[in-house]
Amino acid sequence: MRPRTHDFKANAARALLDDELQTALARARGGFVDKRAEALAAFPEFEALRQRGREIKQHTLEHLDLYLERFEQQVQAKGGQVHWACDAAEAREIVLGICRESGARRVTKGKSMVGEEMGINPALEAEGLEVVETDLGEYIIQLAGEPPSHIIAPAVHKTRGQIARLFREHHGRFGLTAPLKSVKAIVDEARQVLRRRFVEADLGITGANFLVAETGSMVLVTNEGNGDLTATLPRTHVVLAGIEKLVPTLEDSSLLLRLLGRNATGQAITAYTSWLTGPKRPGDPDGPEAFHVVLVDNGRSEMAASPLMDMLYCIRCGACLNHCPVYGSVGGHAYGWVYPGPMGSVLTPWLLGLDEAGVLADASSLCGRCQEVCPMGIPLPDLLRELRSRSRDQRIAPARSRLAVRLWAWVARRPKLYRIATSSAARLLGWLGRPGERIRHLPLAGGWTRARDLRAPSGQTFFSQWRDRP
Amino acid sequence: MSSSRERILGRLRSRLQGSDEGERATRIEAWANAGVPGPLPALDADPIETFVIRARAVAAQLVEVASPEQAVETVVQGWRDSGAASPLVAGPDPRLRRLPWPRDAQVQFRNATAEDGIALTTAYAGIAETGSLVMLSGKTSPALLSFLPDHCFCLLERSRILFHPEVLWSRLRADQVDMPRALTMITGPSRTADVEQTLQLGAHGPRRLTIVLI
Repeated sequence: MRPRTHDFKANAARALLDDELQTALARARGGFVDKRAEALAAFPEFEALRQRGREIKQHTLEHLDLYLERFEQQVQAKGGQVHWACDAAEAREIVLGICRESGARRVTKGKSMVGEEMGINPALEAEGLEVVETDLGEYIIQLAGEPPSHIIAPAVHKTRGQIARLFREHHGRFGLTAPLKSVKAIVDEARQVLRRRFVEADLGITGANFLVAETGSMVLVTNEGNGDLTATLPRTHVVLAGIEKLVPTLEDSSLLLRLLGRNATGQAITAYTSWLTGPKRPGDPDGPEAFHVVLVDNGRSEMAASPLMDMLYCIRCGACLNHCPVYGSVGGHAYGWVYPGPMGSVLTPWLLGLDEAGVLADASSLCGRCQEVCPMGIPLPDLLRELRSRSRDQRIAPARSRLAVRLWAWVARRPKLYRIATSSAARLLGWLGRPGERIRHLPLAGGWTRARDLRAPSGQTFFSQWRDRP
Repeated sequence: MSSSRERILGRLRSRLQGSDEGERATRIEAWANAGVPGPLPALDADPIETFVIRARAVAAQLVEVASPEQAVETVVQGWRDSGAASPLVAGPDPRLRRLPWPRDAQVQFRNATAEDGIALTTAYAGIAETGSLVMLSGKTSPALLSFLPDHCFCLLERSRILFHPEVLWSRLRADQVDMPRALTMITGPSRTADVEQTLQLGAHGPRRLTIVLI
């Protein structure tokens, strides 16, 4: 997908005026936040597990070369194949090669964020393959021709009415004539149509939530059961996974699963959690004949040696999206590519470059809520700050913003001048609005106040209040 | 070996320059052998009671029976209640074949197809922490039986209910059970909340899951 991240400001402005999107976002926000809070209230071990989760990740990343080798040995010992892809293009080529070799025509897919990252669907379609997404949310946005707007709820931006209209438009050829009025009717319709697709598919592609080095297993988490059907019915199963998905042992996968479900959907565990290990065994009544794992680097090994290394701790739960005031206001599409929200604001500039996506690092008030809720304790605000300073250093940030920062730094290093400047600013703002009131229009900053209010300061600086304290 | 493999591993190693290879290999062995699971969620003393409560909380139905006869009765009744339009499909498992099936019950011991309505499976274990069934794929237990039919019955022996998944992992190792092609923890029936965050059961997998606890 062609990134539109550089247009973040325009995308966000459009999103704020989109009433249907705002309705969908308002509904989702409460749902995710409340469900997570409820799950954590019944989970006093959260802090201890978060600590242990970080230890597992740290240990794994420090030995990632060894764990990748061990994983590969185990997959091969079970009769599977492991492929290594340095970048997205190589990963696409590997998958296309497997499709050609196995003579596949029809492909079913489970949800995969790395698949989105490498743009696998357009590549398969360009090759003449028929690709069907099987996660309901992914299927909906596939019909709509849109990218996902959330990493675990890809169609969260769609209302029930919009989905019903999409189905009417696309399911006529499967005999759908009556309008779909309820959520149940929509789910049943998708179930019936996709059931056929599952059975007809020659090749199934899924992501992986974890890869277990000890056994060569991939862990697949779904609520619908679509992942297991995609992995079991076709002759060939292809797993797409970033190299950071490795964990050493089965115990480690269980520990991280406790963090994943609760922080994603507020579930202690999803309905289906599968450890899939190699192809069908002799005598097995079902399962794929060929099992391929594509290990995708695409910037990750370089990230491991960078100050953004902590981003590799991410288990893709989406909690930072659900708790982000910016994501909650503009939704996922405004971010213009695959990964939205705070985690996306770190990953996207890293993967696409600061020129295209550096603006995302500024799309945050650095309120810190993302870090607070992150089950892996990723210091997202620090990582965003790191990207901001890189943008300034590489002169990618707009000249005006660089100048402003330089000016501020110059003043801040001169205490007397700084005090004069801040006290006159405080007095001026205090004169524009009484303490506690909101300033709705600011001279010379009309663009900023058009969509925002500024809380009027008390008219005094911190220094003067400190001096005058009783 | 592919050059991409070497490039990726090389990049990962380059940041660890100076660290002792042997020592790193020892550390990962030590991690694997430590055998100390991380902090585990506290559970009440009785795993069976916890299992029952948690399985019901995720919309699984649960029937406790005292004998194989009662288990058969429960499953056959479910099949009759469904209208008995399609056969009752059970895993090709000798233990299931030996159950005292009534003559008129059309039980077929095979894998499921996309058209089957009702299935019976056997769980390898239960996990009290989450109310999950542990299914191991294999000759006598096809994986698809748990996914294709509308209504799944699953037999679980009370003695096989474990506190945490960690107990399962150490038991599999102790019994030298190799990881099967698919080990699936099933927690309630299939579900989705992809339409307006509204929970709807029966997305692609079973609409109903009945655990028969024996």
